[in-house]
Amino acid sequence: MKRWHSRWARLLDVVRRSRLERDIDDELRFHVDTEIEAGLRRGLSEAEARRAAHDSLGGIPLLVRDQIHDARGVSLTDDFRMDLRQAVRRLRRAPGVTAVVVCTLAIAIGSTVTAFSLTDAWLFRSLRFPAADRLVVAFMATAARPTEPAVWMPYRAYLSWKESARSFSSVSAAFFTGGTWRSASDAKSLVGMRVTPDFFTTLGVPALRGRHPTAADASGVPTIVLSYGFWQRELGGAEDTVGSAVVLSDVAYTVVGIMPAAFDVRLLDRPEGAAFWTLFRPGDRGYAPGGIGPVTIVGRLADGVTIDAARAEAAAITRRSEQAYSFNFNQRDAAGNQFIVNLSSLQQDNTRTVRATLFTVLGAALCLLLIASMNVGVLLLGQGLARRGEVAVRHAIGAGRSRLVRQFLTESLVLSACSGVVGIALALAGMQMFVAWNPLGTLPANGVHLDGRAVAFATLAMALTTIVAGFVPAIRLAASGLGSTLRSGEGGRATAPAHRAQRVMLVTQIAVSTVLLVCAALLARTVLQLRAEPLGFLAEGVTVAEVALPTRAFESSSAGNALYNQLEERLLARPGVHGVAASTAPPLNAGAPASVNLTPVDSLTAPRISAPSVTTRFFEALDIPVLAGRGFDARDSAQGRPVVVLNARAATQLFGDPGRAIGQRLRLDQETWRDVIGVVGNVRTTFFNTLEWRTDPIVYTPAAQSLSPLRNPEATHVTLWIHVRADRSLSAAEVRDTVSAVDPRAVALSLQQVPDAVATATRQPTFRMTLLLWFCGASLLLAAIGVYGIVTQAVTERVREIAIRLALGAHPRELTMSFVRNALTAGIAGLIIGVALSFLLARTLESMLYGVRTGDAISLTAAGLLLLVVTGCAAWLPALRATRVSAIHALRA
Amino acid sequence: MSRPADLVQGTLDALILQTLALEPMHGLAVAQRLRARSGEVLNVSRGSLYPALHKLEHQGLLRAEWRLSESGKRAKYYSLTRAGARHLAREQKDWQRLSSAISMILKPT
Repeated sequence: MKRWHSRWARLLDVVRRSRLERDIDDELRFHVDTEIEAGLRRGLSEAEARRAAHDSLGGIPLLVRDQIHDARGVSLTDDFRMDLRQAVRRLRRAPGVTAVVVCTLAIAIGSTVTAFSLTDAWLFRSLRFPAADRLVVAFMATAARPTEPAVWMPYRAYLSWKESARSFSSVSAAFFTGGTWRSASDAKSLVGMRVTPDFFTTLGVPALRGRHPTAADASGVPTIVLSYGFWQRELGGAEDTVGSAVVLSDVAYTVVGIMPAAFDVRLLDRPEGAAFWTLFRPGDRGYAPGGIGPVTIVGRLADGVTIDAARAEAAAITRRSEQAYSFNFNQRDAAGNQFIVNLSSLQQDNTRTVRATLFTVLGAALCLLLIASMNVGVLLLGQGLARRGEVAVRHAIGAGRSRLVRQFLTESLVLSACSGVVGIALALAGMQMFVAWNPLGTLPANGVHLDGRAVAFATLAMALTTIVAGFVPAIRLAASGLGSTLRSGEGGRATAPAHRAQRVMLVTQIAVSTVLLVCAALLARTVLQLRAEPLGFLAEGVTVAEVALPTRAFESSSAGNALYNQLEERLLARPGVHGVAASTAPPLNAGAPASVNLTPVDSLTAPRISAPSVTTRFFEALDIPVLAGRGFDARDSAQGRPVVVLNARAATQLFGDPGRAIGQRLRLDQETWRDVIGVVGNVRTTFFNTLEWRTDPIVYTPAAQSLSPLRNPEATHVTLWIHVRADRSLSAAEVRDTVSAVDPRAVALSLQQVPDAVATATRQPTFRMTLLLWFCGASLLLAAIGVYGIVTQAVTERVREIAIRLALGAHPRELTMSFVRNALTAGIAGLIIGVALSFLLARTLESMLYGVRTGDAISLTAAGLLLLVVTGCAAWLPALRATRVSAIHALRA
Repeated sequence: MSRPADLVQGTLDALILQTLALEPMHGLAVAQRLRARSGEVLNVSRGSLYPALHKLEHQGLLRAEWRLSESGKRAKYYSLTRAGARHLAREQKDWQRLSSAISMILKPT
């Protein structure tokens, strides 16, 4: 056993020895061996020959080796290796402190790397299209919000750009469409796009199977291109898919191509890519020359053309071509908005909704990293102060200042490196959690993974922590601790720079914490505001089922109503169900707009107001109050007088006063006159990419009179949103079975709880708040640890002084308070700087706030008070110890 | 060549460089050559040869590589770098000046 052990040790030794060492040994051995051979040839005995050889070498090889080392001098790398060994030894001697420091830094580095990877995947890594940075998306915005899409581009704008714009090498148009896909057991609603044939060539991605559609495919048998996901999930990746037929919403399409998996086109804030693409067809209303069918225009910039130049040209062309039409987009709309054409890069378009959140998270993570490294810096500085005797002695026996600084830096480098490794592991876990949790409701098309860029970023983060946590303390300590320390003994004036550095770090830490705290408070107030706002309708206990009625089977309003009436009867018969009603608008959505005319002749500037159809008991089932007149009832049948009910906002907009609306008449699009019979309360709605509750004007029509897709002749189906009020949650299978039992041609698609829909609408603000609250908690904890550490250290250092003062009759409480006061001064200084900083950040924050302003007094006061209380407590606990100092004990020591 | 203490050390360096200026050789050969050429008067290898070789290598005046020696064993061969050759030329000039000055003084008239 022992022999084995020694052999093992020798083997290790061989491995460990550096190359230089081996080289020297080999060189000397060559000398000695050659000389011994020569001696033996001369007839010397082996011992004599060896002695002669050593003689010619100038001593035994070991000795010579040392002399060689001396002659070469000690190199920087040797120093570093020594420092490294020493640092590791010292860190291992205090495993508790080391573990805390490594954990702190690892969490900070881990969250920063996670935040960076997400931001990188969304904002910085280019999309997976050839020359993706040349792709642009066009939309119409209002002058008030030039970067937010307000309305779609008209199809004719695409035609005019295609004809005369020189900024693009290729332009195409696309619009979203839905399709119902039925498999043997299930039916689901898929999002697809209708596109122009040049859509695929503009994006520049060849088909994986089959081909792109051509202009010839627009007429004749309908053709379709499938996404890779659709092909795999729904068709099992069947080899013979191209050329076969797929049926969507009861329409048969011939598959001409399948796009590769990486082809993930998202336009105008869609959370995910399309499942299929079909072509606009010549007969489609609005998609002929001069048509104003809604589209978004996707273009590829020509070489050397900037996006600004392209935007200017496109806007000019659109303005000119619109002049040819009496109804045009150069006019202001009913709300007085002037439309402007805007272009954004495809990547920017894809990240419009998440950019603010990503930057918030990245910013908060960076703040946390800064705080954590400062905290470690304060801690190391404290340790360093305790070690200043050692430092002074080493300086006295010849260690240069730079040498001492290097040593401190090595120590923090070791700490950062360990934390970096743990941090990257944490980041890996964090990213997986993010993907699984999907808190933004959308994942980047690029995918989230840890790559070289993230590792490079982690290295940067480590460099930052090394410098902040090591460099500052090292310099300050080297400046303060040398020479004078030995003379002045414990607690001399010489340590002032180190103490000052510690204080500066503490103030900075509190300032950064304040910024985080203020942001978190504002975001929390935003979420509270969003949640507290009354919705105007009942959400609790309401389940909404989406049911699609294909137009081929339900071409008339009466067919749809007949189905609904049977469905209502069956649903009401189920246990726990109190009320059933249907609307053509999904929850939290006002519904599709129609032009509302008050005059017999269509007005060009008639306001466009959402006009959903609802069933008789809709207001009753959702607790929407009738403010004037009456709600719908049995009188409002298909044979009855055409009527509408307005919400208060619509009544005010159209007639100036809700009370005056009853008995007035209006026309929706080109329909006949309808009488206003009632006014109901406003309900809250959301618009797809803005953070706010809106109060849109709404014109409700009775389903019995208008449940046909008259307003959109291309629609393949009418969607009913069936609201079921029950004291239990319904299962999807239950609803599906009920629907198919009534009529197998109707398709139950999705099922959602209204409270969930409300939560989804406020998902991003909630996510931002939650995350920031966590970061805030962490930074407060760190700040508290920092204060605690500094005060503890101050108390320990001044034990002697405290003892004397106690002996001379100082009151213990006064002593405690002096420490607390000291810490609070730093706290207040940090607070003031932090508040000033958060005002600077206010502009970036503004877009994320609702119902609260950046200078919100409540948020500021709450943040400030919390910080001061935490600082005070963290100082008070260790300061208490000062009063327990035994005077005699301390003085004698 | 400014301080007297450098004289001996500097001289050894110059001798080594001079020896290696002829051809690359290993440490043992340098020792043997020095001993032979100085007529057995100089026995520099009393512990100072190898440290001097390493120092010169470290200073960049020599470069070293491992080669097979005439006896078939691996040996470390030293040769002059360009900086080493320049250094040698300077040393030679200095030495020339110094020795002619000394011999002028010491020459019996």
